[in-house]
Parts: sequence; structure tokens; C-alpha cells
Amino acid sequence: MSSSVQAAGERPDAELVRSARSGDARAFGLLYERHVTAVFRYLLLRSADRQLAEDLCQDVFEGAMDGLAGLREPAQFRAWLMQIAHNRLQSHWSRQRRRPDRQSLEPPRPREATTNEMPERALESRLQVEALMLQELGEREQRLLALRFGAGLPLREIAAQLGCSEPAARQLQYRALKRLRAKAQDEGGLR
Amino acid sequence: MKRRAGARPEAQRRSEMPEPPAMLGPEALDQWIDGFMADSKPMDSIQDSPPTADRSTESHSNADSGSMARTARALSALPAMDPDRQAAMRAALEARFSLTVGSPRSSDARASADAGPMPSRLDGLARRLGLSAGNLRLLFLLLTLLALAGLFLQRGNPERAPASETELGPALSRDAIDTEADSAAPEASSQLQPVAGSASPAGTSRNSDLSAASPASTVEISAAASQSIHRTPEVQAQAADEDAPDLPAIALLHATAPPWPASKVGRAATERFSLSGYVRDAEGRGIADAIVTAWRIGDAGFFVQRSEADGSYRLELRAGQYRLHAEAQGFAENWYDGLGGSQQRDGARTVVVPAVDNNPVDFVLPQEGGR
Repeated sequence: MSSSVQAAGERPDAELVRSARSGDARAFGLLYERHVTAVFRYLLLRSADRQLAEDLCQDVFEGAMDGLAGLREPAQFRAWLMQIAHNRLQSHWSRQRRRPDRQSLEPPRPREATTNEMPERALESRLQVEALMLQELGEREQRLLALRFGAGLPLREIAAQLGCSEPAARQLQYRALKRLRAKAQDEGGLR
Repeated sequence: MKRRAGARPEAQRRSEMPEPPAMLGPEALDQWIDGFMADSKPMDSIQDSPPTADRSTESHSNADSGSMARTARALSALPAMDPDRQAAMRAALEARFSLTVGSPRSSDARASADAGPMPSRLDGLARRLGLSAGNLRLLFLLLTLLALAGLFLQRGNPERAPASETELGPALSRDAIDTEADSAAPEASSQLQPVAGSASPAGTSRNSDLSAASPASTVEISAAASQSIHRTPEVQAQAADEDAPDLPAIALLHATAPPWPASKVGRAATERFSLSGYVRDAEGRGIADAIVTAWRIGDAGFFVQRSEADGSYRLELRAGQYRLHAEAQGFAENWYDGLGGSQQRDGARTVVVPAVDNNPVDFVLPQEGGR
């Protein structure tokens, strides 16, 4: 589910960035609408905290607004935005001096959640489980899975962000999913 | 489990879902993921079953494929932001955009937005030169004013009208301009002060941020032309000759030109200064592909660069005060503090750009441990 897919006939990101640089607020608004879901889902998957993801999402776009002149390749706006999101999250954790507190979250076992709770709450609980599972992986694996499934970026863009080749990213994805699956089976997390 | 209204029957959806790869393999799995990511709709039910994995006699491989496929689908089933919050955020961003980026021209921009993109001739020329249309317009204006103000520049160090802090960017002051023009190292450090009494209200908070920075913690980095700091090629190209005080010309521009929008994105960022150094490990070996980030103090701006194979890096920064951060795979992150580095942001030193000391900004990253 690539939430940043540009529909036919829409202005490309590069053109919107150039318009925004010229002072077109609406162009920036269009960029926001196009990419906010991807950024939000990426932050959500990595942080397991909806409120934090929303707050950081705003920070990300404010940072993008201020740093728009520093973007050398307007066509790479999405990838640049995801880098900002990553940096914002890292800064938040640095300030907090800790990762999300796992012990403060007590997600119910998924089987119980699906039968006894409303769908939205159960989905939220399951999201927490998935995000906590993700915390068990290394930094690069977390970023890759969050970019792939949260933001919906294609693997070649993710490879560029991680500074590796596409085949290497594919291998990393494979290993990450395998480890995540093994961890989930051990702890009864993902179904 | 209830289905949401409008959901398609599960049998129909399942028949449309791409099957997971029969054989285990990273490439095949990735192709399958591409398929379901492109075709997948918002999940209607959390009980949606993944594709069955029963096509191969190698049951172990298929169990892995199927389970990994289920994991992938579970990860992709994420909620979106609350629509009200999303709309409120957009409104806040556009309001902030109008105030900080395009305020005098935002109404014009909206009026012309429906008319389409920038004029094609200017846009085409900008593309050929590798500049934005806004920067190209500024370049034309600079050249015109340089031609008209030749006699004025020959006076040397004329009195200049106070430049709006926000027109020049958050921390680029007149005195910083004087520093660059004179290339006088001893005087420069004492002259590098925030602009006082700036007219623009938008600049006030930024001035207070700068003045709040502790002088004792400020580290000034190599200045002007010679070593770590130099002008970007586009700024150099604007000078009549290398000795011509083009910075006074910029100040003149802001003193006499029409009032460009304050802190206009793309205009305030014309002036760039290089900051360079090395990212090394504890043994002194350069670390390739380290990510070096310069976080500007006072606003949300930042600049990112990767180190080269030998660990060297170069950042092109707007004038201002920064905290510098480096990270690399397999190493602990590190904030520059002028000493051995700090793992806490609070321990970072403020780096002023441009500045006068002759020290490159180097990082030493300890090995990652305890993660």
C-alpha cells in the first residue's frame, strides 16, 4: 500500500517542490497530503506510539518546510522526507535517552484481542505488538521494514537510504522478516 | 469479528490476492511483497487470512514462505492518521508557510497556482543552469545591481543600511558579512554577533535563540576562502572578481532592492559555507558511509551528508549555529564537542558557520556495544 503514489495527471513532486520554493503554500500543502500517510505510518511502526507519531509527523513537515532550499534533487522529495523522519525519531530518542518503554505497554494476546475487543482497539493493540517485535531487530532492519511496510517505499529507494545495493536490501528484508516471524512465534505476537 | 461496511466478501478478496512464492528466496519474496503492496487495499478485517502456502511438496520451505508472507501483511496493516488531526496539521503548516516563507506573495502564488507552473522560458533556463527559478531571478537582480552600483562598491567599506535578519537568514548578520569581506581573522570573532534591532518580527525569536547561546561553548571553525570554509561555486560566480567585496553587494541588494519575502525558501539560502572533516574509528581509520548531520540551532533546519571511503565529509551550510552529529553502522553515535565526542546531545558544542578557527570538525566513533 504505497500511500505516496502519484496519481495520473498530478503534478510531480519535483514541480511541487519548485513551486513551494517560490512561495506557493498550496504546493506545499499538496506535498503534505501526498506523503503524510507514509511518514505517519513509518513513525507509527517504529515508535508504537500514535501520539508521538502524529507529533513527530508535524515536526517532519515543519523541518521539510524550513529545509526545502537544501534539497538538491526535488524529485527525491519523498526519500528526503523519510530521512528527516528518521532523524527526528532518532533525536527524540536521544532526548528521551531511551527507547519506547516496553514494560509500560501490556498488549493483550492477539487471540483474545480479536474476540473480546472492538476492531479498532484490537488493531491498535496488535500494532503495539508488531512494533514491539520490531524493536527486537537491528536498527537497519527496523528502518527497512518500517520504510517498506509503513511508508510503502520500493526497495530500490530504501536501498539508497540505507546506503546499500538493492540486492543487499532484499537480503536484509528477507532476514528481517524471518527473524521477526521467529520472534513472533516465540512470543505469540504476530499472527 | 465484524466486517466494516462495504467490505468485499472474503472469498473474493482471497482469490484476488497474489500467492506467496512457492520456493523460499529473498528475490521471490520481495517480488511477492511488491505485488501485494501495489494491489492491497486498506484492511477491512484484522482476521483477513494470508494466502495459503501449500503449493509445494517442500512443506518446510512453504511454511516459511507463508509465515513470512503473513508477517509482511501484518506489518502493512497500519492505520492512517486521524483525518481531523491531519486536516488541522495541514492548516497549521500552510499558515506557518505563509508566515515564514511566502507571506507577501502567498496570495499571488495562490492566484497563479491555478494558472500552472512557472513561465516556461525562465523555468527552462533555470533547469539548464541547475538552479531553481527563484534563485535564477535573484541572480539576475544581483548582476543588475552590481552593474549599477560599481562606484558605490569602490568606496571600500561603506555604511550599509541595516539588513533585515530574516532577509539574510536566521543568523547571517552584517558583521558576518564584514568578516567574510575583510578576511580578518582576529577581528572576525569579535564581530560575529547577532543582528540587533532587526525590523522583522519573524526574526526576533531567532535573534534571541542566538544570543542565548553560551559564548564559552562556541567553537569557531575555519573562515573565508582558504581551507575548510569557502563559497559555493554559484556565489563565487556572482563576484566581478575574487577581490571584489560581493558580500557588500548582497547587503546593498537588501538595502535597496524591493523587500523580498522574509526568509524566503530558496532566496535566503543562496549563501552557503563549507564545513568539512573526517569520521574515524578509535584506531584512526576513516569510516565510509557515516552519516553526518548538522542541526541548526533556533529552527528546524538541518543538513545531512555521507562520508567518503576515506571517512572525509563536506557539508554546505547556511550561516548559523549548529550542533553536529555523526553515526555509522556498527558504531555508537557521536555528537561533536571539540574533544572526544559525546553520546548525548546535551554535551554537543555549538559550531558557528562561518567562523575563524582553523580546525576541521572531526568525529571519532567508538565501536557499538551493548545494543
